[in-house]
Amino acid sequence: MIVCLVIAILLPLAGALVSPLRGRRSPALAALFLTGASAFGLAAAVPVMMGWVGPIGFSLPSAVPLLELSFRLDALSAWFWVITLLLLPFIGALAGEYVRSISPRRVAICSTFLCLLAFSLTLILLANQAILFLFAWEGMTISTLMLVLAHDHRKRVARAGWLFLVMSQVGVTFLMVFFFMANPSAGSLEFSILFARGSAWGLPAAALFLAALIGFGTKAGVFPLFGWIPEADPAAPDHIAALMSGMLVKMGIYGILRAYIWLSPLPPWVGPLLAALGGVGALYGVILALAQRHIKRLLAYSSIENVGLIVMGLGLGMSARQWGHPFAAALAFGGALFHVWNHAIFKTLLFLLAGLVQNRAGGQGDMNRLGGMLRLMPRVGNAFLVAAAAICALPPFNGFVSEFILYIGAFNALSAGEPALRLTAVGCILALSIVSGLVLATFVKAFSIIFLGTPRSAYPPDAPAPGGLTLALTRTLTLACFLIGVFAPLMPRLLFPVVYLLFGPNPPTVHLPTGWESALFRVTTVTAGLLIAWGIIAWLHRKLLEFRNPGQAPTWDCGYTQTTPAMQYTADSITGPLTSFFKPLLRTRRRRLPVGAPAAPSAPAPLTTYYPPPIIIQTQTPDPLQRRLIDPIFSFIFRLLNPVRRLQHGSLHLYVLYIAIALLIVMILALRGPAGGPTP
Amino acid sequence: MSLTGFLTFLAALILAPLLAGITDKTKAWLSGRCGAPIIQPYHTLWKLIGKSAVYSRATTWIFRAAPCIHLAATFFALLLIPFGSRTFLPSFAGDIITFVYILALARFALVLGAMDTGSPFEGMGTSREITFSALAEPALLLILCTLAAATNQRSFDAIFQSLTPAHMAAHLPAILLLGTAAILVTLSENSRMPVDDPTTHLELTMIHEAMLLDTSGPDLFAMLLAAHYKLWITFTLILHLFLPTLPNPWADAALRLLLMPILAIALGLIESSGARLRLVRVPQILMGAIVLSAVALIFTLTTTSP
Repeated sequence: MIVCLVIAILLPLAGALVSPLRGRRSPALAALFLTGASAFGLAAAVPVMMGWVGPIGFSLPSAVPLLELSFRLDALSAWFWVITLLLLPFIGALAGEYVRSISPRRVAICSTFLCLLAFSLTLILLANQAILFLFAWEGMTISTLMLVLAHDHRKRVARAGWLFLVMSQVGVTFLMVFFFMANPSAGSLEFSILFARGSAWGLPAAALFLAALIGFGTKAGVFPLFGWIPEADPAAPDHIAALMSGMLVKMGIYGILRAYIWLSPLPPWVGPLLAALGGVGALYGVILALAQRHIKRLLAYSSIENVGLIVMGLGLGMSARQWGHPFAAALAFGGALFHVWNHAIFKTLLFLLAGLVQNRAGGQGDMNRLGGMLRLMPRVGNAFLVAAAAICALPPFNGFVSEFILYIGAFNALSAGEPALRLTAVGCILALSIVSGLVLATFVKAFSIIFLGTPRSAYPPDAPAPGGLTLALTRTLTLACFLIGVFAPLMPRLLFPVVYLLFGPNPPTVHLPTGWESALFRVTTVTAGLLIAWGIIAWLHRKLLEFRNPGQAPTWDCGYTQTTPAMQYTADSITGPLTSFFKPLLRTRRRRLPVGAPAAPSAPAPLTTYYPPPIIIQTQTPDPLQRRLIDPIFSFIFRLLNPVRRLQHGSLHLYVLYIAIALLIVMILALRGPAGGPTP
Repeated sequence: MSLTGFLTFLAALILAPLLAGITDKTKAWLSGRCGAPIIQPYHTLWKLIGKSAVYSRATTWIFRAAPCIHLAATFFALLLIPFGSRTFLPSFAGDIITFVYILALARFALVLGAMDTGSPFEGMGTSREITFSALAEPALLLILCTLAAATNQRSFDAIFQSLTPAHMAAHLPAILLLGTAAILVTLSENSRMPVDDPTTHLELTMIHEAMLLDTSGPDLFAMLLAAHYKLWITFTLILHLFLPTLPNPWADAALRLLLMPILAIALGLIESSGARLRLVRVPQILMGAIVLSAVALIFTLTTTSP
C-alpha cells in the first residue's frame, strides 16, 4: 500500500523530468505517466477512502531545514485524491490535442508543467507538514500559470494569468499567517504536532480559521474572493480550464475542511458565516452566469455558483454539528462532499465540450454567433445536453442526488431546537431553490443558443472535427454522470468514512448511512420508473406515427417565410427578462455606437423619415464585485506601493546586492544571540 | 399503495382535461357567450391523436423526443403527489424535492424542444418561460418546505396526513400566506391570465402557446395532456392548503373530487376579472410569492416547538 503511494507520488515527478527530453511526443508520454500514477494512486487511495484501511503515511529524511518530508493519506485526502486521479488521465490524454499548433519546445514545457501540476496536487493532498504543503501549493499555482501562458501569451491571457497569480499570492500570505501563527510553541511544523488537540493557539481559533478561509477561499472561489476564475477560465486552453475549475478549486475546499478539522472546536458563528458566504456566492455566481455571452465565462461563473453551494453545505454541516444534530450535519457534509465529485465531473465535461464547440466555430466563443451545432457535432451536443441536465440537478443525473442530500440535511436541521441553526437551514433552502431555478435558465440558454436552431454566423468549413479519443473521453464522462445518478444508493457507503472524519475525535454513535440509503433507493426507483414511462410513451409515439408519414416543412413562424438566422433569439435576449429583473445588481451598460463615417457637410441628408437608420448597440455586463470592490482596492494598493516600484528596476546586479544585504542582516541578527533568530 | 390512491390517480388521468373545459365554459359565460361544451378538450385530444405530424426541417431528435419526456415527467409528478391523504406509490422522505425537480425536468424538455425549431416565437416563449419558472419553482419548493416544517414530516403522505383541522388552525397565518403564494404559482405555472393568455396566439401574450407553435399531431396531444395534468397537480396542492385532511380516506377523496370543478370555476373567475399583466410585473409578483412563502416558513418555525 505504501509502495503504491510512493510510486503514485513519484511518477508525475518522473514525467516532469522526462518530458523535456521528448519534445513533440511528450504529451503522450505525460499522459502515460499520469495514467500510471492514477492507477497506483487509486490502489492506495480507494481502500483508505472506503474505510477498509486506516490512514497510511510515511516520512523521509530531508536535508532542507524546516522541510520535513512527511506524508499522510486519510479518508478526507483520499476522497479528493480519488476524483483528481480519475480525471487527470483524461486531461493528460487530451493535452495532445491542444498542442498541435505550438512549437516542439513549448509542447515539452506544457507536458512538463502538466506533470508538475499533477505532482503538486498529489503533494497538497498528502502533505503532512506545513512547509511541504506550502511548497506544493505554490507549485500548483506556478504550474497552472505556466500552462496558461505557454499556450498563448497575448495580452488578454497574460492579464488573466497575472490576476490569477496575484490572487494566489494574497491567499498564500494568509496561509502563511495560518500555519506559522497557529502554534508558535510547537516543536515542528508537522501537522500532527502543529495542530495537536488541546494545544494553545497563537491567535484565537476564529482568527486562524478566518485566515485559512481567506487563504483557501481565494483558490476555492468563495465569495468575494473568486475574481480570478471568470478571467482565467476563458483565457486558458480547454483542458487547463477544466483542470482549474474542476480540481484547483477543490483544493481550496480541501484546505477549508482541513482547517476545520484542525481548529475544532470553533466558535458557533463560523458555520452560519460559511453558509451565508456560500449562499451569497452561489446566488451571485448564477446571476452573473445568466448575463454572460461567452460560453467559458458562463461556465466559470457557474463554477463559482457550485462552489458556493458546496461551501453552503459545509457551513450547514458545521452549524448542525455545533448544535448537536449529527444526522443533519452528516447529510449536509455528505451532500457537499458528493457535490465536489459531481461538479468536478460535469464541469470538466462542460469545459472540454465548450472547447470543442469553440474550435469548430473557428475560435468563436461568443454564443451570440453560434447556433445549430447539434447538426454539425451531434455527439458533442448530446454530451452537452447530459452535462447541462446534470448541472441543473435534474433526475436521473448525478447533480440531482447531491442537491437532494443537501435538501434533506437542511430539512432535518429545520426541526432543530436552536434558532440560529433553523435560520441557517431556512437560508440554505432559500438559496438552493432560487439558485436551482436560475441555473435551469442559464443552461437552457447555453445549450439552446449554441446547439439548437440555425447558425447565427458562418462557421469555417475546414475547422477540425473532434478526434476519436476526445469523443470517447467525453462519452465516458457523460456515462459517469448518468451512472452516478442511477447508483446513488451506494454513495452513502462511500461518503461515510469521510464524513465520520469531519466529526472529529468524538463522532456520534448514530448509524448515519441507513437513513439516507432508503431515500436514495426510492429516488433511483422513481428515476427508473421515469425512464420506463418515457420509453413506453416514446414507443407509443413511434407506433402512432409509423404509418402516417410525418411531413417535413420549414419552421412555421406564424406563416412568415423569410426568416433569417439573425431573427432567432440570442444569448443576451433569451435571458434578457432575468437580467433586467436583476438590473440593480448587474447594471448592464448599453451604448449606442455610431455607424459608419459621419457624412460630409455638403452631402445631402440621408432619408431617415420612413426607414429607421442602421444602429449598433453594445451591451456590457462587467462584474459588479470586480468593478465596485476589487478594482478600487487594488488601485488604491497600487497607488500606495508606487514609490516602492523604484526598487524593481530589473537590474540583476542590484538584485544580487539586495540578497547579499538581506543575508548580512540575517547573519547579524543570528549572531546576536538566542533572542535574535533561529538557532541552527 | 392504497386503493384510494389508485382510484384517485385514475380519476386524475381521466378527468384532468375536464378542468380546462370547465374554466373555458366559465370564462365564456362571464363574457356573455355560450362557449364550447365542457368536454371540448377531449374532442381536441382525440382529434390530435388521430393525426399525423409535420416536422420542421430545422429540428433534430430533441424536438421529437421532447413531448414524450415532458409527458412522462408530468405523469410521474402526478404519481408522486397525493390526491387526498394517500399516494398511489409509496411515499418516501424527500419525495417533495423529487417532485419539484421532476417538474423542472418536464420544463427543461419543453423549452429545449421549443428552441430546437430556431423560430423567434419559440425563443420568446422559452425566454418568458425560463424567467417565470426561475421564480415560480422556488416559490413552489418553499411552499412544500413550509408544509414539511409545519408538520415536521418529510414525505407527501406523512405531511398531508398530519394536516388535520386542528393542525391547520394552529398554523392559520402561515397557511393563508402559503395559499396566496400557491395561487400565484398556479397562475404562472399553467400560463393563465393574468400571467399569460391561453386563448390567443398573439405575440404579446404567448408563453406556453408560443412553445407549441410548431408541434402537431401526437406531439401536440402529449403537450396538451401534460398541461392538463399540470393544472390538476397545482389544483391538488391548493386544495391541500385550503382543505384539511379528513380522517376517512374515501370521504376525503370524494370531497376533493367534488371541489376540483369549483376550483376550475374559480380559476375562470380570476381569468375573467382583469387584463393580462405587463410582463415586467410578473417576475415581481412571483418574487412576492417567494417572499410570502419565506415569511410563512419563518412563521412556522417560530410557532412550532422543536
